[in-house]
Amino acid sequence: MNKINRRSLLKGVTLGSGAIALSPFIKSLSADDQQQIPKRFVFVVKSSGLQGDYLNPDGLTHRGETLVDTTLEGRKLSDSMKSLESFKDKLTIIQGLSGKMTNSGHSSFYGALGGYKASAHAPPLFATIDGHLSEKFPAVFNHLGFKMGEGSQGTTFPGISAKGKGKQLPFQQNPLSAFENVFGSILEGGDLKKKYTRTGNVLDAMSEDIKKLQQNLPSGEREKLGYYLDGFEALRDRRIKLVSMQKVLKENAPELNEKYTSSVKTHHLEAHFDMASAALITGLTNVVTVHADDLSCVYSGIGVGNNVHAIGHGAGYATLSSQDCRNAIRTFHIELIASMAAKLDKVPEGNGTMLDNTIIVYTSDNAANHHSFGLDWPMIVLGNAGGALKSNGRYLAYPRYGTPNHNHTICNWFTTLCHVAGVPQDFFGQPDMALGKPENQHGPLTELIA
Amino acid sequence: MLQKLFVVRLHLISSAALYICAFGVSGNYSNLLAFDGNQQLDEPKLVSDTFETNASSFLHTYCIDCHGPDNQEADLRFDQIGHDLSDSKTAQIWSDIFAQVQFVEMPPSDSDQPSAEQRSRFVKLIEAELARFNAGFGLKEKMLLPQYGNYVDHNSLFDGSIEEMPFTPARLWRQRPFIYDEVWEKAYGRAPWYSVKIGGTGNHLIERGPHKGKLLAHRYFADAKYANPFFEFVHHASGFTDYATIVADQSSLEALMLNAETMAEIMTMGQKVRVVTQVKNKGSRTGNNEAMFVGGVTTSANEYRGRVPVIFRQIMNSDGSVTLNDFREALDVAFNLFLRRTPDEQEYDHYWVNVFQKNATLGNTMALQAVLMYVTLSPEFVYRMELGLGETDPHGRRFLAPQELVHAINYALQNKPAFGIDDIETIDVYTKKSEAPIRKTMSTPRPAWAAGHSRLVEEMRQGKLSTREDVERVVRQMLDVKKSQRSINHNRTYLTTANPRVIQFFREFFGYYKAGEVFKDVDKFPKRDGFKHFNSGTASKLSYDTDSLIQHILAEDKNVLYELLTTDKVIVSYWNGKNSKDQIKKARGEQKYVETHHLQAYNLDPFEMAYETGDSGKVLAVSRDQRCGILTQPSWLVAHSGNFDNDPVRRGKWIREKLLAGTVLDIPVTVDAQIPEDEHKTLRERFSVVNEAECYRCHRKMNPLGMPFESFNHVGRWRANEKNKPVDVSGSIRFTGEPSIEGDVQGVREMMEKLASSDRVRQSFIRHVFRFWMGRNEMLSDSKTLMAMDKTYVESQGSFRELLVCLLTSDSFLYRK
Repeated sequence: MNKINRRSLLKGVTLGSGAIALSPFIKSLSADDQQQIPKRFVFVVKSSGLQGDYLNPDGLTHRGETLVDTTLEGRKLSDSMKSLESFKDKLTIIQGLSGKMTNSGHSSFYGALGGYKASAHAPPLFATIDGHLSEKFPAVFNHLGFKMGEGSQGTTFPGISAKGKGKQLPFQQNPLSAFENVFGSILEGGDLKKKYTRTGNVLDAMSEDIKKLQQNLPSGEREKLGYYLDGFEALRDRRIKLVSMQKVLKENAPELNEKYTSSVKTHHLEAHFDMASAALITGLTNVVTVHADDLSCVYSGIGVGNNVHAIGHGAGYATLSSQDCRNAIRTFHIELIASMAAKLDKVPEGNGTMLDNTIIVYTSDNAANHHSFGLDWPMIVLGNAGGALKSNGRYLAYPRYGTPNHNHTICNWFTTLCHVAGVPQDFFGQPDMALGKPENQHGPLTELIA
Repeated sequence: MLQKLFVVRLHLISSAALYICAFGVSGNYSNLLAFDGNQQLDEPKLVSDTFETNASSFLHTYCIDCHGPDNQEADLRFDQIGHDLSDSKTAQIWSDIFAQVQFVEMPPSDSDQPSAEQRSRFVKLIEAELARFNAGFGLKEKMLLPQYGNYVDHNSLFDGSIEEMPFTPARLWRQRPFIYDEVWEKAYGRAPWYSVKIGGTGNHLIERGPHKGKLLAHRYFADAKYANPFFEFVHHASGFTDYATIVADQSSLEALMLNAETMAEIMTMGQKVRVVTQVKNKGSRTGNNEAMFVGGVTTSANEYRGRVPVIFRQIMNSDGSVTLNDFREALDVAFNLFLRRTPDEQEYDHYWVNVFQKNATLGNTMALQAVLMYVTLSPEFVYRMELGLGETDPHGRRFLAPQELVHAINYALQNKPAFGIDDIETIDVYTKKSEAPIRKTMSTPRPAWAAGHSRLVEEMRQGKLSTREDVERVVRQMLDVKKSQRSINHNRTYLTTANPRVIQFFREFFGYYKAGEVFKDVDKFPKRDGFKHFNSGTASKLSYDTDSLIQHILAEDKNVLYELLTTDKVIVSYWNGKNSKDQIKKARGEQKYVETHHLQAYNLDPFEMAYETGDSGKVLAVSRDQRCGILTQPSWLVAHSGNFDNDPVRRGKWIREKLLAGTVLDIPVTVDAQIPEDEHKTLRERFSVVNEAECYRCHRKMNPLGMPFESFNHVGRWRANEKNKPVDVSGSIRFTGEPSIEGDVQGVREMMEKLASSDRVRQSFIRHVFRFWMGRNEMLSDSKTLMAMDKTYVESQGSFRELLVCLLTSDSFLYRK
């Protein structure tokens, strides 16, 4: 991966015929360069619960009645977190947040990142934290979602992320078509390039057609069609920007290799992480969500040949017990996160590296268990967003749910992220009525605010 | 979507446009203040002075007593209120005032009331001033949303005072997700894979090649894998999933785009199938389990299957330029497949120049794919258009043209497109000489997208669908179906019924089908009395029970609404009336069998019950004191319950909105909607917190209607006692606008009997029928339609079929303006 910074990115932009259309984008880039470095957020969400017991460093436990706030220094990280050893000083392990306001069970869907009741079939009630932040830090792609799953399907809607009420966010599933969507502008020759051009031609001609039709409609209906037209224009706009970024994309896009066409799902996930890292490095996006798996996924690439659901129900695979399988999957995810962090850490930015301005959150769409009630929702947090988050090698275990001192929910954590991002708000999602009045559970987790 | 209008073309719309532009969109959604969308709101030329003077006079007359120097209820004081709405806080206060007055929450009913006109003038004044600072409500737009339907004045709709002739504004209506599925899923939305196992067990002996003499087993999987671009979204208050106000936006487009790319490949190259061939390891035992093949040889390849149009192949195979004739033939096919009509001359030209030729440098295949994608992204595919292209009547209303009628009638009752696909010459993509069973699976005699025309299309083609009488005839034919004796279950869902939209209406109106979405702590139920029967699959079974009961009541078609609200019959879809020994053994004895039996949801013992068989299928008669209509079906009760408790507020709100055409404002954000936990108190006792004046102003509209359902536990089982005390089932009906039904009630039966005999309730039901089938809120100008529906329903002794015929032959349904 080549090292670049924002300035070289700017140099890479060729001002061609699209210059006028591009100018606001370039302005925003140069503004970033001189004054403000964007904050980036990555959410890695696994299914089947993230087991808190396997995240505790040596000698530390959670589920107590008082807050445990201690340093990771001098402590051995748990086996599955070994790959994060070199980032220990940027790490925080958060235990004991509750999420009873969600509809957990097998998955809490939008609830996991939104902190509210949600289901697979109903549209989301509010924005989720990733969608919310993505609207605050717009880029070529405000939000990029990747999901491991049935590889032949291009885009999917796993019901995890939303940018507002009823506005679910799509996830890229097939790595090859994801590559085409994200890095397609740099493809040369071959069918993918032709497909990219063809799609662009269709978009162009269609928006002209819609405008003509619109002129002939009554005003209310014109407006209705306007939403559709906006879609075309947004997609076209994006493509113009992508073309202008060809150089930087070429330098940083991941290599299109056999992972992209593999029938092994875990290879897809690796490709997703590669693309996600590259998208962040090139500035294509500031917010990424990786929905690592769902209950039907099989991790055959790491030797786990049973599906996540069966494993969650106690099935093992070959000589591995169910718990062995869960450990292997978690370790694999954390290794991918570590490699993403390493890539970001190589890119200089401001006085440090890109990783310094990034926060990576690893959590689950279903709290800590395969079947969950949302009592305990572990989060692994890597990075401190330029020091705004006090994440410098900490272990934070909040008092367990049901004890008098517990009033810390995942919503407080999302509120914390809003504060850290510089877009503070004190409520996020829905309160947990069983914890008392909403005002007793609002605001950020003060321990984490610098 | 598919078959749109033959006459209107996207860029040929000019003739139609002449009158579309001339009429604009006119709707007269109106609240009880006779706010009329037809009228323009007052021009926002008011300066703050005028606003201050006029608004203050209203506030001083009606509000100042409680929100003035002497009292400051809710901490509001209007004698010191600001009038500069550029200040966002001030604007917010005025927004709140607007909502309270507009929706008749204020002044309180026991104080002096402004006249309808005064109220109307006051809210328009605020609306205009808010609009000046871009803080407006867009009241006109809001009134189009389903959750605002009840704000159209009920009395005006039914008192005969409206003279205007009914019509529906000309409109685009976004494609229904169901229809998209119907067109897309089978043909373009699948991700097939094919498992071929060699050397295990199987029923085909391989005839040649290295595996000759071994057995072959095979399975073909083709799960639907695609995103429906038209994810439904409507407000909970309405529950209706298909409304003409819903739009397609960027998210829809992104999904459409991806789906279009897949489709373009399938239509030119064929359907990609991942073929996984596994050869058994010598050493493994017999059988076809995965484990038996471990250590053997596994190969994975992509093959193509399906049929593609001959003309597409011809274009793809031609080396150089494509002839215009070939292109025209290909475009005919593309239109036939998706828009289900033939292109006109301008379209041939447009697609040739702007789509095909533009992509020709990428190769003929890519250019053809661009054409196919273009068609499925076109507005005509995404939106159905109801413009009214038939004759104009003296009131300036235009009758739907025959093609429009086909769509409108078909969409009213069906979830699949009316127009099919005319024959297209195709060739098989799969040409390999493989083993017979593989060849059979991989080649297809009939394309996956093949679809026949509905009967309506035949009628139209014969020129027999152009008048109101024609419409009545075909609607009656469609509704005249054989009574189904079979209950609805997961294998035969309501979607398999002859006119699925009919039961769909009742599902969406009552909302009981959402029972499965309410999380229940089923792990604890096996040890809890009254809950032992309820497991993780129960909620969906309960919904099928209710589907079946509604199907039964509709088959009888007598006093349908009364029966829906009061019936003491029950249908249990998954019980055939017998108690098999196996089942009893499986449950570990008779006692456990009885305790955990699904019939327990209705407080019934399977050994004591027997079905009664009538013309319309089998039913169980149960205690009148325990069950009374759909609202006492466990499915409805569960769908309107919390995770751990009943939810009298939501139940009351449902009755208020759906049966009484009433309104309840959304919960204010500042309200702490918390009911205290106290294991010694009943829910009703815990709810006493909302009897505080501040809460009760809204809650009095809901709680007294919801409390009688405390005679059920939160999974819908009837109970006599709660916390060792007899359940308090009292409630009351108030604020209905119909004095004869008002008063206290003891229990669900008394309440429902009163409601079921009420004119207001019947009319509220009719309003919801109207909304569902028209895809829009009623306007005051729909009064004649609604009154005719009401009359027809009463005169036909409560026939739902007659009610529907009346609506589908009404001016509201048939005319556009």
